[in-house]
Amino acid sequence: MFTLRHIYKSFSDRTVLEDVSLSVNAGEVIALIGENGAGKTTLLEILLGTTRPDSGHVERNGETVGYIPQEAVLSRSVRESFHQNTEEWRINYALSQVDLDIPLATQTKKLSGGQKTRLAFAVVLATVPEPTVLLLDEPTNNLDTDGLKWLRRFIERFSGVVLLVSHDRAFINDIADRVIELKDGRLAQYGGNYDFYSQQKDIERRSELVRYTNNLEERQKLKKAICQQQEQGQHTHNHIKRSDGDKYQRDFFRNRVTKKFGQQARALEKRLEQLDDVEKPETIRSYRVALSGEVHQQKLICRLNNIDKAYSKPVIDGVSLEIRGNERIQVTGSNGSGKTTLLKIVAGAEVPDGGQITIGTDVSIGYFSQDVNGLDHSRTALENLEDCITDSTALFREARSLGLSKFDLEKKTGELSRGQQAKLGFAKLLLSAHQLLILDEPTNHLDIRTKEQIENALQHYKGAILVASHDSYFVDTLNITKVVELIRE
Amino acid sequence: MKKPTLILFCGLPGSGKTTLGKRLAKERGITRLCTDDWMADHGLNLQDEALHEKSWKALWAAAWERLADGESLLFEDGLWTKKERDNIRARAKELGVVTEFNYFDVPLEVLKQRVQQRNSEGGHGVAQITDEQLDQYSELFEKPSEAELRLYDITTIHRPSE
Repeated sequence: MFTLRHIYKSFSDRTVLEDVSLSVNAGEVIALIGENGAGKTTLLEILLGTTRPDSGHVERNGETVGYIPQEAVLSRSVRESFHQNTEEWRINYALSQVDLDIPLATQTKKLSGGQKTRLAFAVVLATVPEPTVLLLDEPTNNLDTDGLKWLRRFIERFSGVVLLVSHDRAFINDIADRVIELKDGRLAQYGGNYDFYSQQKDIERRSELVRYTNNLEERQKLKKAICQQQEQGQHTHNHIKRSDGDKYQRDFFRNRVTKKFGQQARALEKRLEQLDDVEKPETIRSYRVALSGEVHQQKLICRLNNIDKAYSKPVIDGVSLEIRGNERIQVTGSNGSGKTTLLKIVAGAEVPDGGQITIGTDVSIGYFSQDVNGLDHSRTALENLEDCITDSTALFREARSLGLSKFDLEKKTGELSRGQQAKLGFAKLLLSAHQLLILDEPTNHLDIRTKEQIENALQHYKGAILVASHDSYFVDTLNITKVVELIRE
Repeated sequence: MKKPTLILFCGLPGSGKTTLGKRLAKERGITRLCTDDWMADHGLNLQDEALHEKSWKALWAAAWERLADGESLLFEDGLWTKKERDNIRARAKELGVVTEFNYFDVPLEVLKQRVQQRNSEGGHGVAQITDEQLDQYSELFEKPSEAELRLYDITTIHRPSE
């Protein structure tokens, strides 16, 4: 089967992969996780054969690798999306493997997002020879609930190996036989799904903490013992007397004792030097700023009455909804059912064609989506946050709890990575003390650590939330009180 | 761990089963089982129906064993009757095997042309079939319905390109 042995790869001054070994068994589903920039793409490229490692071996053993990128590149029609030499039976076969029943002449622009994803899979499946290993890069990003169901079914039926890069914890949990994590260039492997990985990480963190505390205690003990030896040596040196006043004898004993204590102290110092340096384990800092946004339980936050909205065709038709107090409402529905439109209408970013919207007195609303985070990119991160709060202690604490350093805050917002921008957007949202937060797929494209930091921050938010998200792990942390399902007619 | 896959073929002689079967088996690196080829390999008379039936049963018994061991394979067979297909599907489901069903929907006239061509060419595991026999087979053949096609995990319909 497919094997990587002791792979090393560096780019200029940065080591991306360090002694990475991986052996892939028949029919396995492997989830590759890691923070953005951890080297996941490089590892995929090495598996694909488009990048050569600096050292180490890649053994393909006759396996063919197919790669499905995040954004599908399709041609004008379904037929043209396949290589022109691809035989028709092969296209037919590939389309049925992805449950796509459409004429070959169909224009790709007329396909739904989910259909486009499936077509991209079919294009890869129809290559010759048919891939036995599929590399999927963030495959769940553009899929709705039905799309996720389809992908799960597809992976279960696909007879080869599937290696997916994903930040989607629920999906990994459902589908993976093994989780592999890239961190600081090294690969750690966990033989189970996401829950298993999570438990193992927890055990690792705890044992690291124990190791760190033990090390710290040992150091303190040794330092104390060294001091004691030195003090005792000094004390004995000063107080050794001989009753017979024999100076020669006195000095002889004095030197002997001092030497003994000195030797013991030096032995202890050596032990201290030899103790390994144990780094303080990373922990996700808990949130300490009491966020406002708290409101009376019955306070009217927002009321929608019979809202209609159409673009070329009706998107929202007669939707009514009331949000009070600190309700947590999840809006569900397949792609195209109008979730984003509804959230934008509540946020005031879209005007409905019909119906009434009432916003409660003194209610302030914050909106966050993967594209809109309310940040001014030309200003520094700090300046963006200073807009909403003057208490700089609270500001820095907030930023730090989301994993943004002082160094990050001094950068221009546009220079921050997408994950850091999302964290900054959240920090701003939370510092602004809104009574209602509207979140539209807020965790899309974020790595798992960033998601955890945001979830942690949101735990302490006291106001109402209106959210649309496919990330069931994220949604679970919000304590949803009501689910609104939009049905596309 | 992944479930094994059983690739099935359904269609009359000349519909293209062998051509696709050989290609798929080669590309996917899986075993192709085919009663006609097996009989020819063992020097048995392809026209002997009782022997054909016995060989068919023996091959399927071997196939189920290998599937139960987790091996994917391709069984190239006509699967003309619904009952036959229902039994195979039920057994596959019992074993947790993924079924890939290939239905060859080819008009009788096209089949006749292809079979005549094949008769003249001959070859390993090729039984001589007359137009009359093909007419008979076509009457015996129970086309899978739309509903049946949905019962397999993956269904591909193969039609001759215009």
